[in-house]
Amino acid sequence: MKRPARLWLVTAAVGAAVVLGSCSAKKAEEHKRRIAFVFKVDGLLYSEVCKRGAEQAAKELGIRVDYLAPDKAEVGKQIAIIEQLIAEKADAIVISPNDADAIVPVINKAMAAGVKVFTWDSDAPRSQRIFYVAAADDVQIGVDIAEALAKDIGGKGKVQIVSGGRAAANLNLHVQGMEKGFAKYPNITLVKPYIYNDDDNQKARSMAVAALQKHPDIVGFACANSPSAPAVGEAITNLGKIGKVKVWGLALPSETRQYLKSGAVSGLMLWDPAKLTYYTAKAVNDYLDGKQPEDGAHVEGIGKISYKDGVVLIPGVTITKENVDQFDF
Amino acid sequence: MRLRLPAETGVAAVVMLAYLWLAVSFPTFRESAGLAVLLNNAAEIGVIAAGMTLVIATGGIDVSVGSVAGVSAIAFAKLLTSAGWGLPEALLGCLTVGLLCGFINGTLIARFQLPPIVATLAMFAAARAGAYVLSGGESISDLPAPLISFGYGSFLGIPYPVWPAAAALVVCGVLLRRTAFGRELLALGGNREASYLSGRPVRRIEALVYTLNGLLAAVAAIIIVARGATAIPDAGRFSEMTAITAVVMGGTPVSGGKATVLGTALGVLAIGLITNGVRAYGKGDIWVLLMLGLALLLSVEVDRWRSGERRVAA
Repeated sequence: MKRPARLWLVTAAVGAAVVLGSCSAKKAEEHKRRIAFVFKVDGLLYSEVCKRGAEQAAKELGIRVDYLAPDKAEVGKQIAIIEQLIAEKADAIVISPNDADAIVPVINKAMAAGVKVFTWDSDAPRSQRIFYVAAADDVQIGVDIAEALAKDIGGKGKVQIVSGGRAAANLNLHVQGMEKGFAKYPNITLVKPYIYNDDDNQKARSMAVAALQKHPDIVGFACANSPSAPAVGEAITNLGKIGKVKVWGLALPSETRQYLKSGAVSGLMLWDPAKLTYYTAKAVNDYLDGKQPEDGAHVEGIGKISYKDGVVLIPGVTITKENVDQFDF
Repeated sequence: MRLRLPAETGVAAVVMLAYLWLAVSFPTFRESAGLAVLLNNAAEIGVIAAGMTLVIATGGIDVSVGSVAGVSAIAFAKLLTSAGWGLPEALLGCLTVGLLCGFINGTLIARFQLPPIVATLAMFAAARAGAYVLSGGESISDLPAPLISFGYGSFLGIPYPVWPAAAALVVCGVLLRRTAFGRELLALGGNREASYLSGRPVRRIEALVYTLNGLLAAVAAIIIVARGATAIPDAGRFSEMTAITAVVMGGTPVSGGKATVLGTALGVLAIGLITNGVRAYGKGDIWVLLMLGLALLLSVEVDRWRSGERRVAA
């Protein structure tokens, strides 16, 4: 068959499909409210736990709740997903941005298109998002981790701060809180530069090992993102430094359980990501119904929430080897 | 007598099936806004896959393009921010970085006779390292507003990034079908030795193809940076694999000597449809990888049925 005929045949076939597809437009079924969560990256356990909360809320509220995430923690990919959600006219989008600034234009674009945008887990404070839901205060949790670690190491020595993505707003606030907390201890020095492992388990491990090889006198790790504490725990276990190096952080109990039990990790400050996401879905749904979050309200199964300046906070917990078995995520 | 179906049959089937399915399930896929988003998302893969078709036509492979896009993206952003260059100069700088990486690939392969997979694997590692060293591992934002609006604006209802992608595909298609360069390139892919012995400029052609591929990786980098509003050292990671998937799905055999840019364009469309389709179903991107794998198998299987080719059992 001659070439131009081939081109024509293929083009015609694809064209026919497009036309057919477009004509098949069945009448839109009854509109079901749709809230779409856009997390930082797909496949993290933390993300899977958040998703559980989203699914529970969907079931209880009888609405469609989607839980989307790019295959890499890249803000560009999140923007692509949000662009699609705008085109699909989702009722609300809830984002945990990989980059607090780069996400701003697309958030504002969504708001202008009538899609209500919220943030949870990590904020984009300079955008037009309606409110941000977080567990405890992002800075305060950093302060708490710093104080717990400082006590653990007797208030002196070299400490390495570990975080995920450099531009992730929540992580930077945790780090800020840690700096604030450690500032009260003049005998603690912070190792520079801080470790940024991009929420990658493997990188988190190898960067922790590298830090310990470069600075054998590190006595503590303060971990701001969820893969770090177990990864650092594994690193010090492998290097035989359990007890000599203390680790505090923000991580999932299930991923950290063995290190908490062996003493490689001393403790975690955190919240239940499933409850956080569950509450967020409910709060967003309420907002779409015209109800704002209420400062000081007691929410069933969550505790007392606070709401101020567009930030909703739900309470967090401290987890050590004594109570780790009570948590199933 | 049986009807000879075109090489693009498999991928056309995938595109039609995916589109019909999605258009019935989701109104977005019937609306221009939804299609614009889909095309925009597929743009950078379109650019990379266009050049990759030519590379694969020579019987070669280039696994470095994702990393080259990464280092070009970082160089671009560094020139715009730290070096304070204007947008046009920085654009040229970015393209030069990609071109140079491609030229090194081409030289290693054509002049020093390294197997393409070896040369480009080395560049895959080196260019990514370059991106990390240049950026210090940090992502770079605060890029100029016109660049960001390029990422999301549109001309004639078609998003800006789609234009360079379409242009790359058309140029590569014309190069392949309508020029002496294209004929030499296919001859080279069909039988390298015969091509060389008959006095054809094998080395020059090979060097050119890889250089062009590097340049196109830099074009993709510009799209990635504009759309992400940031340059991250991980930019373009795995895009070489997605591009190779598009080319192979499109009906270009990895053995070289035959190629179809039309098939590649359809392959890129198929990938875009599948990606956005999975997201429309409210699933995370890990499902995209699974679906892409299945679509690749489906289209290649249709192609084998079409050509009557059967792998001989060992």
